[in-house]
Amino acid sequence: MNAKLLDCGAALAVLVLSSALVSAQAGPLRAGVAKVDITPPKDLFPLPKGDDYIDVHDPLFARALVLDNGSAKVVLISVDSNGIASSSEIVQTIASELKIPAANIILTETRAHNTPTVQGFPDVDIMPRPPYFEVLQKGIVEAARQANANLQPARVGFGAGKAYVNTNRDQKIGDHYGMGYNPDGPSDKTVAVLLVTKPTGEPIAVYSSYAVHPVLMFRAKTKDGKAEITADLAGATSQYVEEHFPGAVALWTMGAAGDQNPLFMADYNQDSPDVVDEGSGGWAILDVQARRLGEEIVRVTKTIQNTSSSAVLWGAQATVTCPGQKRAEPAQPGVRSANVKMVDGDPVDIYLSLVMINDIAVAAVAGDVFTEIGEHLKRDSLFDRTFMVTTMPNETASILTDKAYLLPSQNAAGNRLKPGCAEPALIDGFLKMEKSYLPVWQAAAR
Amino acid sequence: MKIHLLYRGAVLAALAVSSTLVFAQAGSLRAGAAKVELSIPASMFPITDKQKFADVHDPIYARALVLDNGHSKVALIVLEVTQLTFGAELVQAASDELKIPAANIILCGTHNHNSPSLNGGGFGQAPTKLPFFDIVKKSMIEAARQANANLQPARIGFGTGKAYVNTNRDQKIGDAYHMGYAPEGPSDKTVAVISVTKPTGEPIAIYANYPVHSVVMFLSKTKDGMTEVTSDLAGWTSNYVEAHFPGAVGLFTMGPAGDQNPLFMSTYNQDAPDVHDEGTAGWGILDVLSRRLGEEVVRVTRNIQNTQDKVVLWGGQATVTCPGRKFVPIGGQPAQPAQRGPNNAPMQAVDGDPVNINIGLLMINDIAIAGAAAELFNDVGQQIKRESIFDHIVIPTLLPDDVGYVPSDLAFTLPSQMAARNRLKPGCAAPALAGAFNKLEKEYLPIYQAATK
Repeated sequence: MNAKLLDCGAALAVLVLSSALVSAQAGPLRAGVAKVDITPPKDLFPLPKGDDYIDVHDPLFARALVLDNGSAKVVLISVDSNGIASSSEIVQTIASELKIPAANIILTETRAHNTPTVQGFPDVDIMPRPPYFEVLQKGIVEAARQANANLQPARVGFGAGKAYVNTNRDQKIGDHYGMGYNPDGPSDKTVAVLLVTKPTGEPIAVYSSYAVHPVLMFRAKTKDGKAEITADLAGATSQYVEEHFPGAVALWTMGAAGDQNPLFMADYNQDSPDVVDEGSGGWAILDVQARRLGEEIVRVTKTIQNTSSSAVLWGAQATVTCPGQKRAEPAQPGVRSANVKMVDGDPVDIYLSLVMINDIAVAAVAGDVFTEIGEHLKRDSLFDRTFMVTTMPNETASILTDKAYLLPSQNAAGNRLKPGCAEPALIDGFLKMEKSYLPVWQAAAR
Repeated sequence: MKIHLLYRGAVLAALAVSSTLVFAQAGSLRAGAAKVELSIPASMFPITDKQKFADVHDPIYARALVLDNGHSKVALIVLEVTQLTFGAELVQAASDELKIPAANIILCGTHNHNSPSLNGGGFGQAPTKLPFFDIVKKSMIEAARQANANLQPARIGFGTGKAYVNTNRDQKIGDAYHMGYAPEGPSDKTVAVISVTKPTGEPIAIYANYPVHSVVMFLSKTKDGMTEVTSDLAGWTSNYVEAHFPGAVGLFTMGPAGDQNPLFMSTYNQDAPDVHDEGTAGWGILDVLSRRLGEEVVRVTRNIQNTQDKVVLWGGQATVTCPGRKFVPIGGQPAQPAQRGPNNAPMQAVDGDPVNINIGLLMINDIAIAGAAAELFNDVGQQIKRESIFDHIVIPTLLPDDVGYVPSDLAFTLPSQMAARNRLKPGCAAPALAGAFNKLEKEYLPIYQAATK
């Protein structure tokens, strides 16, 4: 199915919607998981310029969950990385290998900042891929392969809770908004958990989403005056959950966190005049926040009762195109966001994926999305069990609310998206996909 | 003046009120502040009392602020210690040094758990002074003396803000409430600040109040398998504020924090099965929490505009007496501390001795410093604030010889770990305390109105 439409009132948004299937069948659920180490090996050190990590503090992983109902298969993958932005060929490789449409795969990175650079935004950072890309790509594909080989009878359920380890970060510092601490600003505290268990109830996979950037150790000098590689809040939280459910794989995803940082960071007050690096003391700051987030995931997981052994599985993709803008002058160091002059630029494509597991909607965006947009989607979604995951490959921009352009948030500076389009267009894109699925599901579940 | 009255319908609370003055005069404010280290000689370590301290990690202090208007004088003194046992002696010493009545002094501890004890007597034993008491007493007198000697023309103002570094701690773990993490429980985030400045605006003293236990490093092993003396959250916040206002003294007091812990602690999940000690990395946790609290104190201080240089100074005291209870096994044998435990079914409450809670009210114009010799639960403090005549109110707790926890009615119902074996009968203390402060305020109001006419 393909549809093209104009949308979004005055602002021009073009939506191209392509769903994989117009019919689907319910079937007995089978699930498989895998976790593959993608830590850069010793022989890759020192890493290329810009990745000045002296060592590895804790390992990085690619984690994959494959769900199969006999007639369709969907794949959810989470990677401890900050650099799969333009790596959509990884999705194609997995699609070919597992013989499923790319629309049935949601690959996201956790955005842990203390990980090797792979490649930046397309059209912005054109650079050759470093040797680490090999490690990353192989690891992700291997995780999907192993998960697919591990399929076993399963049940699926959903639950949500709250954790208080994130904060809005658009803080007015002096005469502008910087990356700081804004405790009274918008901040979604929801912890969403998609749980997959054995028929006997033991978790196989815990797929969670929370609105926070894993940047707790970002810039912190923890060893010999240098930073170390870590999976940060995402990895420590996954590890906590996996320790509580031995044998299970905990896939952590970043929710709508475009304006959300950890409550406390090792590099305290990133943009403030009195920035201070807590150094190795930062590991304790990381540990307590990961424990608190992990505890809530564990608590929610334990309270999920209404699991199903039969599932309809469905995936779709859409592209939303919004008017673009660009800097009138090249970026200047020290020029505040409020003072950046913007002129019309090329239109910007935003890629969306929706994977449906019965009435559980996993709504994925190739972008770093502000928290209120995630909340907006949950309000407008046809399904109660909806959560947003972000940072799929081919990310094109930070996706801001219009309010954030008005502040302006630091993320508004030089943003390629013109205000006024992205939020309603993105919600509309997901709703259109949900509306395509609804009759399919109703027919299949009848 | 003394009055006795019955209070609050069915529940008997006796209130004894004594204020020093039935009239007062406004006058030009002079203020002095000082801080003196509670210096512990190296020869005393390791110190073993409630914890085993290997050493001093960072110094702990006595801080004093003296205010004088030419007619009367009041003093605010803060000691970075856990509890002010033998507090009457400390107040008397300050009173003698400054030659002012005890009612004009609000002395409190920060409830800093990582300081040595003043009292060597165990539970149920007669109190015994430890050598640290003399250090504290001498340093306190010296801080008061220096503050008094430093009097200079001043202005005073009040402001509030919010900080998100505390959390309710009454968490249901298993079948009972324990010391844990209850992020949606009652928790006042208000940071209240009294700023005393030079006529030109530079701060002389910042008296801040926030409801949180200073227990970030409590039980955390940071040196040789032992804990260390630190001023913890209260002291680090004071240090942060002082670093931002050079020359000023930052006095931090614990607000109604009977059920409030820091958001994160170095010994994570104190009562949970998976308790975890972060060790020396815990200093990082303490640093970020105190910075965030300190930042808010600094921000509020900078925003205070409406300062005054003419003040009325007044102090009053009262004692609230509430019905008490004690716990005995069903069989009639006295309860031993070791038998205490969550939902300890064989125990039952019977009538016990009445409980006296001392309170003090210092008024500086319309700024009320309502101090209680107790660890007030947060809701109790909020009730006091709601019922106060004055908008500008701070509630320092842990005044000398405190009675321990004063739970809210909600906390008695849970029951909170700190309410389950509390020697106060439910239903009396919270309304009686709010009522007692209110009575003191009503004594002051006509005096203030006459003085500022």
